[in-house]
Amino acid sequence: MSELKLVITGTAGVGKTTAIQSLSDRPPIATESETTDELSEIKSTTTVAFDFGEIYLDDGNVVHVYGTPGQERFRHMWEIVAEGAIGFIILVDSSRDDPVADLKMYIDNFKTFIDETSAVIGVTRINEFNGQCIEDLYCFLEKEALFYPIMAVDPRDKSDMSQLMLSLLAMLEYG
Amino acid sequence: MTDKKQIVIKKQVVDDSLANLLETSKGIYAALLSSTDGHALAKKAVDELSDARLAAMTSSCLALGEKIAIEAQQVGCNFVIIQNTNGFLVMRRVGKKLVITTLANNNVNLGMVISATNVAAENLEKEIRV
Repeated sequence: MSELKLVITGTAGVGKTTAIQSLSDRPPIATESETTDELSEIKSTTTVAFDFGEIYLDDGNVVHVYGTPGQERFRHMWEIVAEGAIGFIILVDSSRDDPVADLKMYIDNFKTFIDETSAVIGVTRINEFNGQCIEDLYCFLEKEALFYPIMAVDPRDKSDMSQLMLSLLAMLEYG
Repeated sequence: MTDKKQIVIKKQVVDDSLANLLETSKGIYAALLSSTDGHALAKKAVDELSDARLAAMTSSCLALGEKIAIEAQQVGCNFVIIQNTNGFLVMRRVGKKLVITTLANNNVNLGMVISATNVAAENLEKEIRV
């Protein structure tokens, strides 16, 4: 049996903590504090260190999933959390002003780690008005000569998140 | 009234508490009041203190300390202490949304730093109900 480490990252409020709650086979660990800034308009708590969940795969392996804090002031946690990860799930909120810029920022920030491993992208809050978002993200990746799968996901949905995670594990296994 | 507005109004109380903390001992060279979600709110320091990064880091550290305590089936995390070769950092939650961090060098006893931090925190809890 081996332990695999994956990291979920993305902007504050995109659904990282919820995704780990959906995925984890044991009660996850969350380090949340009450929000005291403009973020409190959309959520009452925010991750300040990391989230942690465990997933037991059918082949006997265990996946440890870590969620990063979203805000840049917690950048100190990003490198700590990323160390030793074999893959990254980047969640992008399609309802934000510039999802492509959000994706670019997280790819840039984790570039050293992602270059050594791989990544998949989950797009949240897709609706009838912002379906173009996925196309825009694909165009951006193509320009950057990056080839990562992009899927629309609902972080509350275990099967959505499992599919995203399994596609990352498949990429890592088969390239 | 928002928490931040309340802290601005009580600025004098906050400043006095941090100043008293530094006056406790020459070994205590800085004190920082920040929100538990990582924003620096007030500081007192003998020299320059880069408070923005420290505020975010202490927020992560306090949250982790409190979670580790729960995982170890211990309750009521009072302080998170980082003891280093040349000094200490003592962090203590103040009410629900604040954290006070005291920075001291080796010229002061750790117990003294903990006690002084506790007095400042209790005073702030009494004065600022957040």
